[in-house]
Amino acid sequence: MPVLSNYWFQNTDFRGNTEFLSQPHCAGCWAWINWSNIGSTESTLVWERSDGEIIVDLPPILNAPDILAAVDAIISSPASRTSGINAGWIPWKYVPYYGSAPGRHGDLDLLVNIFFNFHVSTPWYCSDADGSIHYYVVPYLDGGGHLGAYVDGWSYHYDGGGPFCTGAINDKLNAGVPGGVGTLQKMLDTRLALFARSTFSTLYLLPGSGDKTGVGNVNVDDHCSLVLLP
Amino acid sequence: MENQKMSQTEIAKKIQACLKEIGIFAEVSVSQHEVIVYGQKEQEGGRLRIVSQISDRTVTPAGQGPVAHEVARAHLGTAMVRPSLSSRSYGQQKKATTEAISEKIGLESES
Repeated sequence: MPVLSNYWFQNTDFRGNTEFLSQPHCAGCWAWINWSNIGSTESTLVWERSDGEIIVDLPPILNAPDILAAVDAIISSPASRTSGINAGWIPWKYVPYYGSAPGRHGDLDLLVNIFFNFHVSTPWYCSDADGSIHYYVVPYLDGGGHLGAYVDGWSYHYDGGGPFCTGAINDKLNAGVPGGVGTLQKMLDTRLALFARSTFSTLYLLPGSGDKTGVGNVNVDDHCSLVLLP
Repeated sequence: MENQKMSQTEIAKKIQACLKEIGIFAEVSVSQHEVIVYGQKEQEGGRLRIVSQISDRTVTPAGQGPVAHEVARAHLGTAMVRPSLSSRSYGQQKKATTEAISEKIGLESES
């Protein structure tokens, strides 16, 4: 039985806190959604879901021990990871390095934003810093229908470190974060190898865990699933 | 850059010497772009903290960068279907990608 999933987003261009509702319906029938109190939302998406969906919930996979260990090696003392690994979607036009080459992707092409929080301890004459490190991944199907993905870029930002330590913090992050691209790509390649024998016709992302029933709430900036159709 | 670094270090040493004259034994931290002189002194039940920074740059607490264009092109050259929220369907997207590649090949074979 097909399922109609409706997503309402807090922000324009399908970003931020997301309310969702999935409604199974018979083929050739209306799918009814009455929701009188959807709150303050600025964009919405609807997707007709097939029974054949293969849903890959990304955060649980990315928080596997070997990946966490590899990520922890990207940043070293006095910096440390302070959160699990999140994986949300981000339209290309909102990726921090968009301005360096806007034509690299379509404005509303979706990248997977893989990120985690970090803390940097500083000497007494500076405040400690807290921020997040991001890697932007492009999933795709090639001409043979095989699943691929590559790390397209990176970014970081933080608060604190003032008044004298932001330079040293940037130096450390500029040395470590770009180097993490190769680490993450190896991890992706290992996971993608599990799909090497399969071919697919369609690839898309869905907010959260890709639930097919009921209502829920998730921040799509933090959590999305990759969905494949044979 | 080397001269600048020497100058920064000289300034830091002079600040350190001045602080020493008034009884504050300051330490110096040297990095590629900054030199920081910092010291503390107990005074009348309180603590006096002195920090000086000599820097050759303005820093924002953020950084970003794409992977090399060649790396992206190698992947995107084979990508037929990508997640997108643009209004066209996946079938249209695949067709458009195929047409774009065909057109590119055609152009390259003509040139």
